[in-house]
Amino acid sequence: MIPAIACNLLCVVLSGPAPADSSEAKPRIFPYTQADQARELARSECVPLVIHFVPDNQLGADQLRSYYQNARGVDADALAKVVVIVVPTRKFRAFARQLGITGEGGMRTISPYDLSAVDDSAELTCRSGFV
Amino acid sequence: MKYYEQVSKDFEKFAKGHYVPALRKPEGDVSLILAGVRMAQTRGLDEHVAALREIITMRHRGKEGRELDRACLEALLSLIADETERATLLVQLATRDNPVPASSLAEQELDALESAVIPVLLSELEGHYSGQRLKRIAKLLARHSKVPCPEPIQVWSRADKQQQAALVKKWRAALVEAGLIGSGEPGFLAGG
Repeated sequence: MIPAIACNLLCVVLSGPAPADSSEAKPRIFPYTQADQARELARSECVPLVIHFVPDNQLGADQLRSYYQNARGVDADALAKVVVIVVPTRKFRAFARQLGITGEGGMRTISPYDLSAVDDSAELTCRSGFV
Repeated sequence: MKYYEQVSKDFEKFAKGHYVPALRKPEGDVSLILAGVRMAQTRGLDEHVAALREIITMRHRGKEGRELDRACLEALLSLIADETERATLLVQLATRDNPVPASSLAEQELDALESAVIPVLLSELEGHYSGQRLKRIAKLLARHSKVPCPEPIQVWSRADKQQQAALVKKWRAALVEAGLIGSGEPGFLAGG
């Protein structure tokens, strides 16, 4: 479970101001509970999925803030070309290992057609493909 | 910042190498073909329209197959610039002799075109089809124009080519009188 601070940050990032030049701004960063929506968005736009693994503590929230907060984070144009799913490493240890994450966090990129098992009852998995 | 730029650049290279070639293998992995279709649409790759026309006539099964049919139709409608050519694609798909799953999707899209499709349907009637296809085209034309077929469909099906041409001429006159098409050359869309 992503801690409350990280959840609140995600809510801010997801509902924050749209990129200045976008008239059809869609959220680009999704929590793991909305992995299905993230996958569908990435498929419809044919863009990669970035799986951002975070630890389940304050450090995870700090990571998210440093990457995605408007003032000093990822450029909006660059972010528009990917879709991000934030995944707590400790909850999805096997998935993290499958993508080569051995520590508490990191990023991996996959094709949106390679992410499977997005319902609540199943573990997230990834077919081999673009990583 | 550089990470995401590099990621999207790497993905484009990967997608061109994996997804686009899948368009040339319509019997292959459905999810790969779907990825190719999405790529063609989102990147405006109109050189793949012929491949998409072939894919949409395949009978891909299941939920993924239906998603592929829908994506393929959306891609075709977005990549074909000419309005008449788009309408012709939909009419031909909706009235095939051997309907495919995408035929019903095409008919739904035709409903959205309303009267703009009438000249195209009339042109197709002049194509001297027979049997079920003729009936489907005539039924669609009657529905979209609200002008009934000048003779019962059974009479039409039994008519020879000359008689059919006369029937088409009669129906065209009725549509012109109703103000639904111009009196100019066949194939021009009515209105502005």
